[in-house]
Amino acid sequence: MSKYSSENITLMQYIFIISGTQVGIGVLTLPGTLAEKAGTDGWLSIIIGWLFSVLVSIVIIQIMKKHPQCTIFDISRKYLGKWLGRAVSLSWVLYSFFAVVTLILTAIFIIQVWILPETNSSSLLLIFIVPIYIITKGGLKVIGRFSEFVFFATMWMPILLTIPVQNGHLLNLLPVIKEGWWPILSAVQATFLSFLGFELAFVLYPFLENKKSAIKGIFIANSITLLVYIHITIISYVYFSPDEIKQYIWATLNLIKPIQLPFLERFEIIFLSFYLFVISDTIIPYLFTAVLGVNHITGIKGYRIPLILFIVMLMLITNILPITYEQVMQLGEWWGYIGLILAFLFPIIFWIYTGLYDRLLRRPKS
Amino acid sequence: MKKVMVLISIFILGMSTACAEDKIYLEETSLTLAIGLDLDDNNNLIVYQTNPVFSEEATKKVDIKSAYNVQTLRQAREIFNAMSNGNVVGGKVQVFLFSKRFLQEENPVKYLDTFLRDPKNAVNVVMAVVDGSVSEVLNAKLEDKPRIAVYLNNLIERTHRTESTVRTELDDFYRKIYDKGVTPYMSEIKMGETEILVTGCALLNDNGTYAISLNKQETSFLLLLQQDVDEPVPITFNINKGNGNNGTISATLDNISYKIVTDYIEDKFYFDFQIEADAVLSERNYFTNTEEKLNQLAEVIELRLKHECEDLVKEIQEYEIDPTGLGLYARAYKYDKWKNAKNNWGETFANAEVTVTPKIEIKSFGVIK
Repeated sequence: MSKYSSENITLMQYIFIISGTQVGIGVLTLPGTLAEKAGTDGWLSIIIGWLFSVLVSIVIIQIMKKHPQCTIFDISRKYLGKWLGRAVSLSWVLYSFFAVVTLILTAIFIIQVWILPETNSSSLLLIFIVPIYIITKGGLKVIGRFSEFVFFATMWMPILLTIPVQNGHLLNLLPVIKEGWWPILSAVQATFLSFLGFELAFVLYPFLENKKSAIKGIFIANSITLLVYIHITIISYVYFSPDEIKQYIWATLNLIKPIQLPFLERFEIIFLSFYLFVISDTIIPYLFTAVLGVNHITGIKGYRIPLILFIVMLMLITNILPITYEQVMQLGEWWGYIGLILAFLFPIIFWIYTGLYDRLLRRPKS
Repeated sequence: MKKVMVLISIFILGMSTACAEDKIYLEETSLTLAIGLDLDDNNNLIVYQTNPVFSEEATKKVDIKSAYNVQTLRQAREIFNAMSNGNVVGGKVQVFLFSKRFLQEENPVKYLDTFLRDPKNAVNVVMAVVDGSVSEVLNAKLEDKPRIAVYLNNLIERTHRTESTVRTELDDFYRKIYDKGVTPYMSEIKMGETEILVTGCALLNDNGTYAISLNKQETSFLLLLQQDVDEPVPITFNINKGNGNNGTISATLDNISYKIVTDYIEDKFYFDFQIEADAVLSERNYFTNTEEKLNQLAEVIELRLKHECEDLVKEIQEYEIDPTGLGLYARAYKYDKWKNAKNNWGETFANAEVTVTPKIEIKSFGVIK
């Protein structure tokens, strides 16, 4: 038995962890970012981005299939040797932790801008940290259950987001492919950041109970993400006029703001409060990956010590780094670039490498 | 023990965030319900605002203040703060009033920036043009009506539902400002002898300045062309019966369906509104010797509707504005032509040929012959 089998997750948990990780800040920013590059054809870019992420996801599963009991940290040591393997593991740890920092700072920034402008970031960080600590400490089983909970607890949000359509113009979407394919293709890169999260299959695979459905699961997870993004993007384009949407940084929140009930205004506050679940659901799997990596590199047993270490670092970072618009956008951009390398390019290169390695070095022995 | 610790920490966390710096005491705030922008005789900006008064000792229920010598709404807020019982907040604003003169001289968009930039401010604020001075409307003595801002909001909502005026909220206004294919418009109100009257709507240029006013009947045709009607739609026409007889008929339109044909022929956009509707005759004040046949009456209504709508469009075209949003159709169906025209759509639209082809089927004459 493998060392990971005590924390098996079901297929459903596997799907929800991955799609939960993917659906994060992109929900708020993607419509605006795509509109800038591809106008109202931006939703086509999401489909292309989805195709890429599904392909890379399948490549990841192909790598993992050969060693069903290993995470990326074990595999990289197997193929690349002790030191190079360690370097790869370390870069995954740093990447995951960078994702956590970016996500938390962005979330804090959004809350400060939209709801609590006077509250300082360290007390906002505290609200994040406590549940995140408790859930991550529980291991992947608890994370899986949390993801399931978040998925079902936030199902009303897409329905709420559909309300503004009645005041919109479907005509805004026409004509499809206005300016040819080039703007659509150039916006695809922007969707990559929003699809990041599938790369956690590198870590989740050995925990999955029924490994035969790994490809099916990751396909469903990517598709859930695709649906969420397509839905919100099309609704934004239908509601806002094509030039207006470029004005908004978080178009989705501007979409919710006009919704009002006779007894309730500023719906975006309620939306944002639930959105914190969505964003913790992105943060926690990344944090878990970082913790697992540290366990592997240093040989420390248990999640508690690395977790506390990371949280102390987070507290230091939020106190040192000024949380400004520039800063947050810069972090997001960097994460996009690093993600492009580690989540999209690394699996493909590593796959080719492992294929060659097995063929050239293993076969003669057997 | 562990549970107690968890509960205590949750309590501390809740306290430390929810009850920290961002708390608002209702007693210490002064909610702005209406904001008015006007110009004085020297074309200086005057900002008005009304606040509801909740204090038991106060005898008035609304507090109206004005700020002079300011350039922006935030500057005006500083002045209002200095003379208010509490901190002025813009999260519950119901109406924006602009005097016609203000819109003729100034571009309203630059004054509204704070309402989009600061998320604490409301965006579902209904916007209206005042024919006359803003302070007259805000100071109207309406003893049988609720507070002025709430009343205006309700008034515009109700008249919009009977197709007598448009309803433009702030987010909607911004949408139209940024959309190159449609120009903005607002409700228009006027201080009557004793009551506030809705007179129709004001159509604005693409940058938000005043262009032209429509009366209530023209507004209802505009709404029909914008496909923004609550069915059934009441319409009334004057009919010239020939041999010197004039009459009026009223009908209500129901089950309205639209088809807009867009074309580009010989350097000109061509739009055809094909409106299909059922009509029910609701009033007729003239008598005919012979019983009018069903299709004859339908023809009469079709013809009148066609003329009224086409006249309206011609009037609009003279001002090079497009409140009907036909630019959206041009963009959707003739994108390559639209691309050249989008930056001066008003001008292109002025040269476009717009026809209206109604097709009315009379459903009933009511219960008498």
